Amino acid sequence: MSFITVAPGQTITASWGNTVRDQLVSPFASASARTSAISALVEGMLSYRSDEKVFEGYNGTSWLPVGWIPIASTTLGSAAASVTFNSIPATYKNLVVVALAKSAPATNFEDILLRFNNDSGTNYANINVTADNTGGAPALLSGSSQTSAPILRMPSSNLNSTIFGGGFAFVLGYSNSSMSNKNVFSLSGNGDWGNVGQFRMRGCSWGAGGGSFTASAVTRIDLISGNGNFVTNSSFQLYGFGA
Amino acid sequence: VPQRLVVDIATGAQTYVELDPDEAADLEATRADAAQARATEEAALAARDAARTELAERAALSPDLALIAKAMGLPLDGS
Repeated sequence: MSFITVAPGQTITASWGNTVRDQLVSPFASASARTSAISALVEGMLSYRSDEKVFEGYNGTSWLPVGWIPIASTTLGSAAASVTFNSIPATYKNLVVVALAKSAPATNFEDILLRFNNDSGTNYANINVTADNTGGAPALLSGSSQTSAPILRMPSSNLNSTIFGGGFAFVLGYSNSSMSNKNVFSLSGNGDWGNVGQFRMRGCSWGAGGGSFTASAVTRIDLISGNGNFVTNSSFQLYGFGA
Repeated sequence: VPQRLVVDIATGAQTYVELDPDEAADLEATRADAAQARATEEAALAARDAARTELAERAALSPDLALIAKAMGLPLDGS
């Protein structure tokens, strides 16, 4: 298909109009509506599905999501010790977990603990690069044989009550059921000007630290406040990417 | 009683549930495990910073040690 450039005096023909249509993003209510509407698929077509709130591109064989696709989102209406994302679909290759949260205890910072498939075994290991503004140089720390992964850091109640923090974590290959380990990489923390600030860059592996090496896809993620509750208005999102 | 928010992606339901005794015990055990690991990390961090501070103090008194530390790439500013 040639790329359309509009010239002065362009005659509007059906062929010209259809070519322009195929080079635009076409909105549809659902995949079935799109199938019914498009008689001839062309590689490179873009469409938007309002039922899934997702842009999809046609690769010559199938329609695939474009970018990070929202899977789930929640904002706490009341305090909770943990948040569980259940029935995570194996639609994508990778996940992004986003948390903007605060914990209730009278401390400066707490960790958000990550658990896969409700596995409470000592099957989590992590490497942790720290940067604090309370003195000391950045440090490289690690832990293994843990029952969860301290994957994100969030502020607690000693910091101003309106200060929330957190970060995001990439879960690589979560839907791959032939891999025995899942790797997670994250950036998180918060700066509280004039008081204390902490940032963390972390890597975590599930199943690699004394685990059973049982290959499985991730279908459930628990985000656990390391101490006390997540306060009201803490928010958590799950995105998928890579098809 | 601690509660957790369950987001069921298949149904779209979001439900607060109180932890049953087993879940509450697991929550406490998980937190204790993580707290112990965090304490170990923070103790290692404090020990490293103390060692660096001591090195800086000694280097301030000993030009030779300062030269050795500098040659080894060790920090002398207490950081």
